[in-house]
Amino acid sequence: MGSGKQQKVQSSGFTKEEELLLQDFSRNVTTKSATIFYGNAFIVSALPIWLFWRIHNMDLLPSSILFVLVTAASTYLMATAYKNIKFQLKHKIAARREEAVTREVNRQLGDDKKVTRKEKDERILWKKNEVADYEATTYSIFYNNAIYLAIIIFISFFLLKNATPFVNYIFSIGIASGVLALFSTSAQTN
Amino acid sequence: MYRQMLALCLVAVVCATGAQGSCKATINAFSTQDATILTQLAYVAEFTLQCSNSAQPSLFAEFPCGKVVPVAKVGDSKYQVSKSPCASMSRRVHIGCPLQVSWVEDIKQGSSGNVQVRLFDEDGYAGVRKAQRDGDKVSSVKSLLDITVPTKGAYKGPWIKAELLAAFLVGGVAYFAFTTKSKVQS
Repeated sequence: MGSGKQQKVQSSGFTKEEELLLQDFSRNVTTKSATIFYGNAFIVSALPIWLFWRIHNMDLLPSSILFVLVTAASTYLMATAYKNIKFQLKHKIAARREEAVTREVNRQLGDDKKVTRKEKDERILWKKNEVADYEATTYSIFYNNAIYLAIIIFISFFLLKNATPFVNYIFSIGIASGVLALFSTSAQTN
Repeated sequence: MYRQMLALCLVAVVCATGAQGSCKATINAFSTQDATILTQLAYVAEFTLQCSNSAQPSLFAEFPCGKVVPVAKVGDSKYQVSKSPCASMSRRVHIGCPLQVSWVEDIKQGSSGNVQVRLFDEDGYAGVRKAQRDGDKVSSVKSLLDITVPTKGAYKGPWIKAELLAAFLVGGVAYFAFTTKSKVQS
């Protein structure tokens, strides 16, 4: 039937357009995004280990179990925060980029008469989704990392500076990642 | 007769000059360099005295604040004096013979630069004591030798703490991230 673009996808029962829309409004991330999120979360969660080892004089080997456990917990919480913030920002970014993406796609396909109007709209939707996904991913990582490191430095060097390094590490990492994960789940009001 | 009188006067002048002697000092100065974990600073001036008449007199040192202290002899022609007897005496240390007295200064009062120390022999010290008793200025008493002790300021820590600077930088970036997110979501 036709060019096949209107064919229903046998596995899921949705058209390509419907799949794009579902993907756009879904909180689920692709495998690639998940890899990026967890990889970044691990790196940023492991950074304070150096800080506490060299600046707060925590012994590396005796505290290794604590480092592993807290880093693992922080990685999970940060990845959750990345995912939630990305979802919040994606639609707003898509709305902002729609005009530019439309102009770009129309410029690329403007003279091609083989492409129908519907195909053009699908391509615009797909391109907009891709751009918004990428921009929301990178911005979510930047935003969460900046807030995370600021909270850690403030808590570990000012609020808990007189506490033992053990307590300092647990509370500063726990509070930073916990607060970010918690506030990322808040509902956005438009 | 006049020639004999003149000869006697010349001899007397030469002897007097020889007794005073012209002295030169070679100075080694030591001071506290790092005051980050200290509460007081220490200064030591060790000098080697070479007098033309090979005399090794007992010496007394006058500091700018007006106090006069004995100078410890730590070797052949080598003398040592600790700066600033103007602060309270902190301890007295025996290093073989002679006796050595040490003084220290509070960090806030510590300074850098050249400190003029006037040295007196025993006769000069007697003159100083007489001037002090009579209420006269000690600066009017002629010193045996004036030495300049160079002192360096001690390092008292950075102007801005590293964690404060890091907090400001990260706080600035976090503020920028937060405001940009608010703009995107508005």
